[in-house]
Amino acid sequence: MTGLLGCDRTPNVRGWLEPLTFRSSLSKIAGMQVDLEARRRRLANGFIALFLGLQVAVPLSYYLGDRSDDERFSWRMFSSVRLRDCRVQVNEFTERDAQPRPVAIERDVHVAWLRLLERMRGAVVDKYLQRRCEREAIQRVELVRSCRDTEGRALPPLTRSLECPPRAEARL
Amino acid sequence: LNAFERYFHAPFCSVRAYVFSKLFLALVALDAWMLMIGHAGRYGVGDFNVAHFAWLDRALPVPSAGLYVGVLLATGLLALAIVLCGGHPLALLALFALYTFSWAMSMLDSYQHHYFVSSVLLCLVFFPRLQIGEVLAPAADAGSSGHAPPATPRPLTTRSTPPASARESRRERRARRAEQAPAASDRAAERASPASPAHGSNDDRYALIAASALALYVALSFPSHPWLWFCACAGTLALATWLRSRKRQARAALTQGFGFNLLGATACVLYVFTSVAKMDAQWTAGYTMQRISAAGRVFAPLVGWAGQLGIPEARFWSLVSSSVIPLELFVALGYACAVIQDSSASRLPRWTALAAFWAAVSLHVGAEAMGLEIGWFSDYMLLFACCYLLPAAAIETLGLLLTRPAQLLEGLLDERDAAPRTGETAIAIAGSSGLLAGIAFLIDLPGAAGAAAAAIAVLLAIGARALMKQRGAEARLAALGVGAAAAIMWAAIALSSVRWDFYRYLGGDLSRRGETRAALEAFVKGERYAPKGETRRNKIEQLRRKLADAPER
Repeated sequence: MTGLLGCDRTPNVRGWLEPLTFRSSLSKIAGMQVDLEARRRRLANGFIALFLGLQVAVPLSYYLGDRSDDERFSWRMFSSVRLRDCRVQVNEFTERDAQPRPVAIERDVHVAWLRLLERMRGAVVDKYLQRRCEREAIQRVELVRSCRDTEGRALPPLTRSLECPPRAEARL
Repeated sequence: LNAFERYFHAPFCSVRAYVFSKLFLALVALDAWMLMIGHAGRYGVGDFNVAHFAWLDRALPVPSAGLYVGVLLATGLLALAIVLCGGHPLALLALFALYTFSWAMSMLDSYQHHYFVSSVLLCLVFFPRLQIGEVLAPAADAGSSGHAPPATPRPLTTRSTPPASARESRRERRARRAEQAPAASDRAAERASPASPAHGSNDDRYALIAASALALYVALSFPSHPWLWFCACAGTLALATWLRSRKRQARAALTQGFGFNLLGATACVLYVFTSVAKMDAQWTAGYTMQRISAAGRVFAPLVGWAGQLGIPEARFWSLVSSSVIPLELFVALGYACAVIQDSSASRLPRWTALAAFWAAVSLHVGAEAMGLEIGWFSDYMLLFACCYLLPAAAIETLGLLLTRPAQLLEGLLDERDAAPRTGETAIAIAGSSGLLAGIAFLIDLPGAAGAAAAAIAVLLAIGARALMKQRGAEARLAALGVGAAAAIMWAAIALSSVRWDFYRYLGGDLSRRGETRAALEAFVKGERYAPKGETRRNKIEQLRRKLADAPER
């Protein structure tokens, strides 16, 4: 691709081969060029197959796998899953308090993460629960997500919890 | 050649690839500068981040707003420099890496079309590297509409074939057409022949009308009737394009580059999966569509009209929702056919592609009308539809708007055989570097200085390499390209509300998390860039009072 300012003048492969024609026989060069062309074509075909295979396999893995809430890379913009109306609640359990302590997520991290927690994005949920576990005296963290589908019907709530490992300081 | 190779290495009209690559990269640059930067305030907040890929999470620290802005500024600069200076595959690969890094560094950017843009950028690496002279076709009137496609690479100009007899089989007809087609040498001769002055003035007239319609659309706005204004401008452009191209035949040369074909196939895959995603009970019943932004408001008149015809509201929504599924599947089919429309002897791919063009336009203009929060996705896909699905003559006509100025610029700036002129080269690089530094200061966003420093370092490296190889002209043009890209970056950021968005979103989040002083600073800074009629003065006063009551916060 040459620019609007027209400053692209890097030689192509055929250009690099041009001086060789003065040193070798024409037939040899022609054979080399045919070989090179065939090799490039094979490489290109391999790349095409790989690229297109990935383009099909990645979204297909959504339908064949179990990541029903993680719609990334599967071209499910504005799907019925994406447009559910969800709420999320994170609770912390400590030794001192008998009752679980709710976490104000929007005061802890950016509110955009709250939206991703509502969508039950696996990696985000795991990392956020781990983050809460790193706080002192937390024994267990629990995330509860409740949703209504696009028709307005309540869906069964989903719960994910993490038992916090004992802190090193506590062990010492 | 087997069927796979015939499809993925099929020749296509060069003007398609040229126009698409230039406009797509320009759109990427403007998208990064005018839209994406506005959300940068989310990054690094609370020292929490999850990247799209686990390995990236392990390899990188928590990205900050500065890093995100810096990557986006550099992405835009590189994209526009490629538009202006031409795309070496390595530069395009670097652009792909930078852009992909911009969204992959955090799930805060979960727009699926950013992933699609990355796929496009990777395909662009394998697009043909076209000279403007290979794209511009001499004007010609053939007195007939459309064009006949060649079976082998040749100009799209053979429609004078007499109608085949009824007894002639399709295969015989194809063979006869192939025989009557001009040879490749004729094509070169045709390309070399100068355009007549009459055609030149027609081209200028078209360019003037089309450019005026576009300029008026950008310059004027009618908030009470935005869609009427859009339709008037788009209609003028479409009418002028149709009038110019209906009696002409596309004469641009065919070219090859598997990236173009692969991208068409990728668009086909995308539309198939977006259609599959809608094949569920809630979508087909219409519930999901009713939950989308302004769908209820936009379709309200149609709902009323359907009611008068005896169609209940629920049935109306079900019909509208369900119709999207075959529409998207048809657009997918159109993209699959579009790749071979210029090389196929059959008219079917061209007709399918043209029908799919209108389907794609209705789909994406409808999405915009519904006010979906999808950034510039519709713009990207409308550009796609124009370049891939329109007939070659139409895209060649539309391409005049781009290729005419490009030709003019190339004529002014071409100095391939010029001497190294070290002094001039050093001045050009120093001038562009100074411009970059000044603009980085004026932009007033975190990360701008880093992006400018990186661009200056690359420019110096290009200059040193070019001087060592006695190719000063290359370095001068690269400096000019980067300088022009930097100036456009400044204009895009200054004219848009992106800095206002950045500071007000940042202030809002800081305020929500109880960081009053930092929130006040962000809001005060943002006031400088507030668009007309928008202000956060009340919020600023509120924060000041809060700080006065509790100065320690």
